[in-house]
Amino acid sequence: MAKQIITLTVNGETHEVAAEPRELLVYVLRERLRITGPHVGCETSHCGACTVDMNGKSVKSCTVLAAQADGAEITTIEGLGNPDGLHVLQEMFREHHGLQCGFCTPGMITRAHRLLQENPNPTEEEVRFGMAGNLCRCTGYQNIVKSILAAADQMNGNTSSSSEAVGHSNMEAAE
Amino acid sequence: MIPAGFDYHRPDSVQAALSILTEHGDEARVVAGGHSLIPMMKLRMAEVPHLIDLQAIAELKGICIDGDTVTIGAMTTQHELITDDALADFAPIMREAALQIADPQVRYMGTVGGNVANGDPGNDMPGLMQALDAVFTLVGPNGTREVAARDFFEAAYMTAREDDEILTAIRFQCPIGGQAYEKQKRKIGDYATAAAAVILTKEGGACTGASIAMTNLSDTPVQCLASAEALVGSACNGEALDKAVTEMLAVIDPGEDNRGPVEFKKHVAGVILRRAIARAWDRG
Amino acid sequence: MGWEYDSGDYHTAWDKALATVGYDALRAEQAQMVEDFKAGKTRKLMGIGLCHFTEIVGAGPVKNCDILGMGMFDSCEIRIHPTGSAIARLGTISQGQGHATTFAQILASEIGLPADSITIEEGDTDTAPYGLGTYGSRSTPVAGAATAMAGRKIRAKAQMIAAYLLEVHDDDVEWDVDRFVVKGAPERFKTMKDIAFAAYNQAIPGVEPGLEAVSYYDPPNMTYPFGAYIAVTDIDVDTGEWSIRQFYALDDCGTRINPMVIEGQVHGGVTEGLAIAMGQEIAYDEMGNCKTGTLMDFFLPTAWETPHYVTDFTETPSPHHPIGAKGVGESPNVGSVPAFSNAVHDAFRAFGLRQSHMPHDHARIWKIANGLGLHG
Repeated sequence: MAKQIITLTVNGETHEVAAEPRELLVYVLRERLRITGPHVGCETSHCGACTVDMNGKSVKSCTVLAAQADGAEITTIEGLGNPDGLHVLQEMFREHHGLQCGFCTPGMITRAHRLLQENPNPTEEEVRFGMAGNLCRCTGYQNIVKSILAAADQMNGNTSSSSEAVGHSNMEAAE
Repeated sequence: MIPAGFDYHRPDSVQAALSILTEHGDEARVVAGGHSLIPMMKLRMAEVPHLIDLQAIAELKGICIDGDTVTIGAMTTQHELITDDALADFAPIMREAALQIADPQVRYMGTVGGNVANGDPGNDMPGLMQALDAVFTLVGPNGTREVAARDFFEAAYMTAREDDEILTAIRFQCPIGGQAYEKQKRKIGDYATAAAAVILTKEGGACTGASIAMTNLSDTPVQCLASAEALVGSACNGEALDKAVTEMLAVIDPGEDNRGPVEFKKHVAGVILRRAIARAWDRG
Repeated sequence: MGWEYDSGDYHTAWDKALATVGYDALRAEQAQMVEDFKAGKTRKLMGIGLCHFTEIVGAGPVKNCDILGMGMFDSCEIRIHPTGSAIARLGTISQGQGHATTFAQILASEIGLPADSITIEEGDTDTAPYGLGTYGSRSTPVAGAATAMAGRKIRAKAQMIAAYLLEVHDDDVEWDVDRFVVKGAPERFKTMKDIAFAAYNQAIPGVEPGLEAVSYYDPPNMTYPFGAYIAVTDIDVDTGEWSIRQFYALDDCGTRINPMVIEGQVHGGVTEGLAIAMGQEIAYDEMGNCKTGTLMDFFLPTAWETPHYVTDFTETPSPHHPIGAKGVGESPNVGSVPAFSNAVHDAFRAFGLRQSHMPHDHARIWKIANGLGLHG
């Protein structure tokens, strides 16, 4: 149960951290590496505030042990953009009022980033299905969805916003 | 919430994992995606002095279709099941069911092996595996053995797997005919109020074979042999369909919980089964 | 002796809501669905939930409202810097409602400095003026009013400075967006930025240096925002599942300061209303254990269960608020819960439903249908 050396590549920088295996990834990031973008929300893998990208997958870092992450490549919100150079998703969340209190936002954007990597041109319905692992209690999701669709458009070189229509069928297409 | 301390092991072969498991006996458990076990460890409802992480074992991963048989490594994630087009052609019900499990982040971590081996009655894969008549490969100190999904689940969280065995793969034949996985849940991330996996073959407008299993309506998945039998020879409607539902209701045993009272769950189970049968029939 | 509504134009809002959603067509479709249901052609029903509401927010007049004896005024302190930027400190606190935007825009309109050169500071009790905080949609009605009133004090002093600089009488200058202009001579003016510099750096007879103001605003009345909400819900009679087909929210919160901020408040509040109406519950078993202690059992909707909202507005200013604004944050919660709940109830109205109970989770909706004999 002693500490062990865990190697994490976070936002392109490799860190060696002495941590107990039982420590959760979110704590290692926040408390040991002072990377505080991933938030501790529900702690029960429901809310998604702690979402980070691990080896190209969106994961809830409250439910990943530090030891499981040993050797992993991690991207947090800090790795996507910064105040001097916002990521297009951050830009669009600002533009379209995609956040209010901001607590869910790092997880939202980190998840949305992976979603758009896998599906660069999603419908509103696909965004809603693909973002269903992240809870927000301020925005009712409407402007989050709008921001993500706008970011997809920008990343695809368009300037207009996507369709506003939504239905609840055909969720296969969303994954 | 942080789990109690444990020693972490990350073996790179099944044999290495087994030897750790053998060495530590009851004190050791294997972890796949961890989204069932880690929350229990955080709540201190599970104490695991030796945690054996299977992530580095390459032989536990991958989907291999060989003729009319597919073998899926236990560490294959739900996300991988969903995004594998060959598997979706081979057995579309796998993608249909996996999409209804948890949420995107959990599906990146959750594995098919973990989903079946945990023996949680709320999990979706056990019932589906029974409908597919899948076979699980278990490797233990005394070698390899195979157990049919239909014989595997004994009670909630109790399975035919011995504590010193690791479930390494699932295997099933290409399902013939129409398939449907129908699930009612309260929201994304919820377990089923009722779910039905149905596979039907038909010839000349009559059902020639049926396989049905229900999820989260008992402390194990419930294979519904009599329901399937009721459908054979029929057009999956009318009295045959009614009988299939009645036979299903005779073998499920749902309990009241936050999803609703028993009476409601039984009614919904009937509705969900009818819908799954109708869709499978249309797709056949 | 009771409360007096400040302003309202309820029929206009209601008529606009009904026309926008195509109410008559929805009723016709619903009637057809009932007929089809009775004929065995469908197992789905549709409900239309209507809610017209009036809120009472912006507590409140000190003569009526207090917390443990402390009157429910609110406050704003403004300091204009010599450079023409400004900081305003308020007794409220934003949890994401966009105060920094809303209050900066109120102030920008009053004093003619760009909103992005105005810093809004809240929540630091070492520096903030006394205030009663943010809740119950009181920030804009009370602290927003204080901001406008303090801004007007700034402008009054700025007028004296401008008149001195322009060598005319105070009454001979008039305000024009961001400057005082000599009446009849629009080429002669001083911008607020010019005035701010002069206020600190030029000796002006009879005028103290500096450009600051404080307002402690005791509202004469509450504000009474109102709205018309319509929810359309499809119901699966056999499973109790629901799906929100359409949700329309018309809010009238008087003068609208920032439409995007208002709509954001509405989206969030309606979603909370959805949760409350359709599943959220803190339930206990007979031993007193909480049964809904996780986010799987305590219904907090995801983006998937949440519909796309249509927002709309009418604009009926409050006659007593300095800029006519009313509160809005609480409105969607007030209007949406009954709208969603009424929609469920309405779906079964044709079958004689008299009473139904929230939250309308699958099991309760199923029970309604079962009680009405709709399961055959």
